[in-house]
Amino acid sequence: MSVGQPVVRVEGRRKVTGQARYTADIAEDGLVHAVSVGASVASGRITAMDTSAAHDAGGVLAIVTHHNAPRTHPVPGREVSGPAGDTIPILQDDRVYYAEQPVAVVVAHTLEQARYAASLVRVSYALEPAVATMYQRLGEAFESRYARPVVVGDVDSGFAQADVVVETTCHLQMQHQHPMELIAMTAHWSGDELTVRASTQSVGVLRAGIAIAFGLRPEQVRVTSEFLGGGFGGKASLWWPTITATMAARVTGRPVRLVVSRAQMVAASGHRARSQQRVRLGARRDGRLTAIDYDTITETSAWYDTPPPSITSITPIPYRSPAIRAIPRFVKVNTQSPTPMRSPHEGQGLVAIESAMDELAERTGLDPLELRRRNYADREPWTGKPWSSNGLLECYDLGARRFGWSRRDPKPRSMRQGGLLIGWGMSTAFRLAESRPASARAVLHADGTVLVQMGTQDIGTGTYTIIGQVAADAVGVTVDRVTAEIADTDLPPAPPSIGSFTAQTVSGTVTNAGNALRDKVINVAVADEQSPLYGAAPEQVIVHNGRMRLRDDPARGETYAELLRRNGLPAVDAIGQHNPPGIGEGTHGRYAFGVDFAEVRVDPSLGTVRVTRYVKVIEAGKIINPRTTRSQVIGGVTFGIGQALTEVSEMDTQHARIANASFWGYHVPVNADVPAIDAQFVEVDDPHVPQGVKGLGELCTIGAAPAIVNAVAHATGIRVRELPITADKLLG
Amino acid sequence: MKPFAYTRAHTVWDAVAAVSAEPGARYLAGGTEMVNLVREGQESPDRLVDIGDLPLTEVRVHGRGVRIGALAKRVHEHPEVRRRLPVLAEAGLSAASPQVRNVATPGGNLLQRTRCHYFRDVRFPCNRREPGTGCAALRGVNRNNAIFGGSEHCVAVHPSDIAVALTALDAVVHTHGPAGERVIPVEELYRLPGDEPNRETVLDHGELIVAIDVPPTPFAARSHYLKLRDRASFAFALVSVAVALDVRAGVTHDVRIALGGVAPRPWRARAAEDALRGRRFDDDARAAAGEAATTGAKPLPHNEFKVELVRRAVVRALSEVEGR
Repeated sequence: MSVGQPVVRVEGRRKVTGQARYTADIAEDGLVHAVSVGASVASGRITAMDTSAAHDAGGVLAIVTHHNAPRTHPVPGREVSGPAGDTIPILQDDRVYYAEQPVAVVVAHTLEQARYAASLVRVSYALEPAVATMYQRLGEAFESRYARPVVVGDVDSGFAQADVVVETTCHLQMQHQHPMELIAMTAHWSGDELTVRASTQSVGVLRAGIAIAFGLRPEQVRVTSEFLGGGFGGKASLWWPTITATMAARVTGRPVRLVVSRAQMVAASGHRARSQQRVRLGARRDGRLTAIDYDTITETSAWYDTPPPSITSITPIPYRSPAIRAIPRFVKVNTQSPTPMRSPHEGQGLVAIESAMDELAERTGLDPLELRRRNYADREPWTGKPWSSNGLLECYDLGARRFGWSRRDPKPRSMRQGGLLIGWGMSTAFRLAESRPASARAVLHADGTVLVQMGTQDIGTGTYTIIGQVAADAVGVTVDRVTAEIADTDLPPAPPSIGSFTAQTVSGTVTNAGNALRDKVINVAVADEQSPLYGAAPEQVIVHNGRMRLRDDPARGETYAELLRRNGLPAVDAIGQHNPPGIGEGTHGRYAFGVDFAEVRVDPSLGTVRVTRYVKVIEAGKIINPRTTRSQVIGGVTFGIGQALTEVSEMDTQHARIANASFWGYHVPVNADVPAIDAQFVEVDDPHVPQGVKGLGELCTIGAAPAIVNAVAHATGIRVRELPITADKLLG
Repeated sequence: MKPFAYTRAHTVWDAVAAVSAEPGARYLAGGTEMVNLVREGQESPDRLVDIGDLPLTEVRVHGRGVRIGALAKRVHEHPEVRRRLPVLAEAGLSAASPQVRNVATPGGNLLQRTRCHYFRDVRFPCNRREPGTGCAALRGVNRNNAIFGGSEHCVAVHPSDIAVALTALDAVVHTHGPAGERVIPVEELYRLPGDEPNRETVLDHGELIVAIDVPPTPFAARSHYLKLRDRASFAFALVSVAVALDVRAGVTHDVRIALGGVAPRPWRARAAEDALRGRRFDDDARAAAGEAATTGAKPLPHNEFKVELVRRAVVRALSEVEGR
């Protein structure tokens, strides 16, 4: 079996030696460069534009504004089967809804020329009042039809039965995904056919969105994306870089590359919106929950009549309670639309829920882990459905043992070394483990190699590698015989690489394609008079290392290559389909589970926090590749360290602009912020999910911030409710 | 990026002549700062004069102390710097990242521009960048801004670490300019913003730092740099403290304390020094110094914590240097 082996990432060498070509690296004949000019105001109308100086600058081919841009059709977010992206018209009228919304696109022969000319475009605005943050309008918070409240049982009577009630309100910061690779697009028209190379988490969403926007049939649009330098949700939708690059290519008749600057990344796609989350827990003296009352207020963009459907912002409750009430509400602000960021719900909600659980542990005198064990949900809490599988308790046990949790002194500020306070904190992590419909083609060549074609994406997590592993097992060859072609709308379609869907989707789809291919070839063999397998029952034939043979007579068989060559077949191919139940449908609750244990050391005098030890255990069904999974855990925890301690997009309320829109002001963690991370897996058999595989991308990050927040509270006795935890919040 | 001319200078005087002759000319040394400024639009020179070939790369120990060429690389790794001037070695190592330190220069470090968000993002008003447009930091996100030395026109902080260390070492810079050579104490190199925040230093246009001189002092060898920031590495100081100490028989004979991250220039905490000088170097004295270091602080809405952090950081830096 190849699945389950620590197969080395197939494109790893190319990436670390600089041979992997990312979107912005790929040259084309006649390529020209586009630079977007963003609005300097956050709300208003354009009253005048002066592009004359920009036109006169050297090398300029075109300046696209709302006066001369190709007309586009509105793109409703829900119709492209991905998270909503830019649904406002881009360069179609004089309205400005958010700072850095594109008001012009300058196209020139070189990037430097385009940049310089872009700086010469003069725009006048009639300013309108802008709402910079939801705290200016909390009284206007509204409920949305896209984000229904969840109500189980009766919360009031639940609280009436409670011996202990705790309430906590957390303020979760605005963050940007800031992947290493900037958002980049190359658009190339030939006649009415358009090819877009994109740094995207979904070639399919881009194709659908472009087709709607430009009034094309989907077949007229091809989108490809060979490698991605991270996305984290920020590259999953149709945002303006794709629209403007496509317009620029149309207007100039040239292939156009548009790469947004780091500063523009705060407006070139969505972000994790600011959210205020209140959790009230009622419990018996023994810690068993009687009621959970949970409400959130999250920022959404000013032009939606509803929030973007991807921002529903209530986290499913991971604990058993007879009464649950969760109500999400929203406030409109003048920012780019929010979008998922690892993950859209749990990524923030677990901070609030797990903070409240730790406060409940303190109040009841229970160990935080014991409290969580006592409230273990043996069914999906808000539906009562059984779990498809659930290894959470095993994760708790393994993680606690590896971390040494039993040695924790519950008293805050009690654990010290030298002048430093030591804090231990933990968090439950859990996340939907689902997949979406997809198809794939598997091709067997006469030399015995296998090609898998599927319109999925590798966002840096190892999709190329696991496709090889899954296909190898499904076809019956070794993994080195398989190559994958992905991220191209000419290939069989697959869903966006979001929501931790990819591993399960790939497993189900590629297994079906590989099995179909294997069966097709076996059928050729048993019908071939010259084959040693002639006349055998197909179900009696098994394949190992590319050789078909009878199950009961290993000597009787031949290789795939021998069969194909003899029959003059250059290749045989087969299509596999994957048709899972809809998200949240079916008879079982399908989730992946995990636990985070964090140790921090805090300098109480200076407020400095360092994460010094970390154990993360995940249960994601069958682990396809422990090596790439371990990488995901390390990256995910690092992401959570950033959320907990360093990252925040700071809004200037006077200008409704982000004040730290680049890496000089936005601190992602550096190596020195990240300790060695002990990544462990609990594997369970899950017959209810494809190939027993649950996704894990988001699971790897979502418990990290709450565990660190809880560790800091344990170390210092100070519960910080506004992230990130910077030194100023701990000076006391 | 506006098109500009590029010249490579071969002698100091060529360089000075080239920049002096043209109001829009600027020096280019390591480029880790100037290239970003040009690309992002805070600087739009007509000409860059590359001084990378000039013979200003030496670190030399002589009778009058340590002379550091303005283009010397990785000065913090120099054994004599580490031995004689620990505060400078520590400050240098705390700055930026290994990749930046491989190409950056001491002269360029001293003349780097503020990291104030509103200076760096050219879409905001900024008196330092565009005189008369206003200071957005005063009513904006000013957590990182000055608590000392600011004005109603500018509350930017000078970001250099080594400038703070050099101030604590009584160091001077040697310059060559159109009007000849001169020597300027590092502390006096920078102007407070007042009502002309765009005039950041006392240097004339075309005046080039060629060397830094650190004099021999009784306090240099027992010195230390403490830097507090928002992540473990590769971030500018929220507050930093350079201390240099001469304690004789338990009594502070002489001391220098300079603060970084809190003012438009390295901020010499003279009141804190006075609180120590002539007294027993003990916990009480250190606490008094911490308190005195905050004298005159005028925090902004988001950076009141810096006052407390200064107090504590000064005490900590003095405690840490005691054991050396």
